[in-house]
Amino acid sequence: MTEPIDKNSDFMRLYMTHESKIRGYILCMVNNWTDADDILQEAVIVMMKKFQGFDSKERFLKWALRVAHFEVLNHVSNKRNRLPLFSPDVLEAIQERAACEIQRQDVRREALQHCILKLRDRDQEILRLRYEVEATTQAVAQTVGRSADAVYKVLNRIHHQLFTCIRRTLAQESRL
Amino acid sequence: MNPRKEAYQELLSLLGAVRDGHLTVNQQTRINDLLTQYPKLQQYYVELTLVNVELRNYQNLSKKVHVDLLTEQIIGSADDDTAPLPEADYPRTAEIRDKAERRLAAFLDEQETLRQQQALLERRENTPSLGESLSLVADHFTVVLTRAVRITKRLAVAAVIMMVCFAVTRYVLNHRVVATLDEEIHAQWAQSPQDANLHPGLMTLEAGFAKITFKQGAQILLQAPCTFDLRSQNRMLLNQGMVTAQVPPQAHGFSVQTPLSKVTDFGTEFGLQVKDLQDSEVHVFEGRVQCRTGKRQGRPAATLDITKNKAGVLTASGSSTVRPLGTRPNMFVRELPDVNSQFGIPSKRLDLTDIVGGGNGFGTGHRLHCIDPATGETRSQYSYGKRPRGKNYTLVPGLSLVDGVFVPPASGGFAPISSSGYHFEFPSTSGGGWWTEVAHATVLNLGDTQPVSLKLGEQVYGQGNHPALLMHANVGITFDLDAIRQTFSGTRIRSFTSYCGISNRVRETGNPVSEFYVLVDGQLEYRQEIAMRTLPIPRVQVRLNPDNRFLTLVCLAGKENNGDWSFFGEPALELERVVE
Repeated sequence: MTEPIDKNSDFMRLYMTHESKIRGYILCMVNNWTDADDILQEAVIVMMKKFQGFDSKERFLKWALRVAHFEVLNHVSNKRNRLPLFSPDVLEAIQERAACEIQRQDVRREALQHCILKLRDRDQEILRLRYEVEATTQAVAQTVGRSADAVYKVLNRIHHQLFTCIRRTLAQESRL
Repeated sequence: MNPRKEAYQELLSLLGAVRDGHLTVNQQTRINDLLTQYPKLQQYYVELTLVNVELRNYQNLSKKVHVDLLTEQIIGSADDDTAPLPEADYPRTAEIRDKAERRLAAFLDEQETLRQQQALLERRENTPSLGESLSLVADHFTVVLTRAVRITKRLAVAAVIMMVCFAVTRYVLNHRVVATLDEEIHAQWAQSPQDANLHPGLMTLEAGFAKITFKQGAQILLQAPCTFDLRSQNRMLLNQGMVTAQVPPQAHGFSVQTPLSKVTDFGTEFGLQVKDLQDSEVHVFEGRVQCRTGKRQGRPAATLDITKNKAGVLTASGSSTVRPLGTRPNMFVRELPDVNSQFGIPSKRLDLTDIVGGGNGFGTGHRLHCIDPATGETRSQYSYGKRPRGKNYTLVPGLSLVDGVFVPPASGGFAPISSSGYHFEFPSTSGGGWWTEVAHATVLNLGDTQPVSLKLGEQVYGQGNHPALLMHANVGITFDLDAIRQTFSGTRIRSFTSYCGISNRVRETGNPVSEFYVLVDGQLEYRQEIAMRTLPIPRVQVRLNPDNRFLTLVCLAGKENNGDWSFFGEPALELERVVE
């Protein structure tokens, strides 16, 4: 009687620990937040059903990514009225790289935190508006008194700076 | 082949078109060509996407500013004993600093040893001889070796300092305060919070109520059993349980993630229930909330806008509906109850009088509220006076946890006692008809006397945390145990308990006797003839199984029916959490 509740709790603990990694993995393959959230919810249902027979917490992430992978393929094949973004070959290549890179996501998150602090105050503010307040590019442009096109460019530059900084940090960590 | 800079820019531009939703077929083909041609672009795309995932969680990332300031303080203070440390806020800081200082001291000792060896070497170089020359070679070798050791140790010290910083950072991130615990009523936690400051992490309220306030201002009332995670200063995850949220303007956008949906507030008050990681129900009391669920089982993703006095129901199968609050307007506790008048305790004891009073069994009902046993209508105040029997059995559409009510026939015989067709054979009784509604009673006002309380022995009922279910004979009521189980998932109903008797403070009219019945699924579990002033006060305890569907309480007028003000005192369903 009580076993399902135990399993549910175990599942939720493991799921919450790895949620952002699973979401990131899916996003890499579909490049669309809405689709990624939908696929994640489908995947969670499958995971919840199959978790009853799962007994190795250490392998949870690997297992969850496999479930997510199949859900992505299901999603892609079900969208008959819309061409999938990636061709099968590209999708497979992206999937392999994402599965590998997701293992470093915790380190990447730490690096990102440091890299954000290295940005200029104004850039940090734009980033805050875009991602914390979740303002649209247009709204950010109005707030900071610039054109939407200029904000697009600034955001691209910020993304590039962060990306470069994170890569450098990860490379240093690898050397250590 | 390495991609040119233009290829990176082109890919970024094309991904922007994907994001904005106006990607052409040619552009799509170009994305695939680029990614096929340049494997490095694949890697770039994957890493960029994973950075974006983290950026979406910017609210948590931005707390790092505070963390870094703290880290700088700690590192700076290692060389300055007078520098204050925030040890009160971060108890592990002193421990971490001590370790760092010990490592630093060991490093300085090593430096001093090296300096002395260097000085000795220099002295020997000034007075060379054959033996000393050999010694010089050996010393020279030693110097080279010690230099290598020194570099290695410097690297080790640097690594230790980095690890310390990393540990502090992680510690502070995991221990940042996102909300405070304001108040508790009969609360039991799986792991009690150490103090009023609450941090991210899974928490379980096993019994009672708790009220918390997020740093950004949203106030949450939790009703057990409730498992949740306070994810940030304006966001939480609810795995199971019931919460009520009051969201002031500064917390606009407060959101509750459930396993299968996300509820976002737009300045409002709402209640949210998640049942066993599955269905969700949202009741909006003020303002508007938005619920978003993903596509499931062939159904499209749903976004529901739910406005005041509406309820949204999202099921695991993907269906979603919005309807008026209807029969469950008081399902959620909206204010912490007064501990001195609260009888129902979530996960422990469900107050049946509160259900009759239109509540959820935990204090949201109203005293004086009642059910007409002849029509099933709910009223805001009960009255006194003999009235005819009416239908055999009538449903109570206004109360979702009550199946129906009835007036047993005075002539006796089989009478229906549930909507599913259970019957029970009652004896003939005196009287006939009924005198007062089935009521969440308090003091009685009979019109021709001063208001008087219900009393058994020396205990007054209908006041404080001693509720009374008034059932002046002849009346019966059937509770729907399945509906109660479905409403309060995560708990099990163990038994029905109650005191019962005839109030000895209403009228002195002879020596009335009533017959009390407790039936489960039509089967007799308790029957007792009880006279006024029976001592000790009779107490009923009936064990209930998970498959029992209906609980029926009946009071019949006895042979002497003058003033038989029968009632159940503190009638309750005893609950227990289905525990992990």
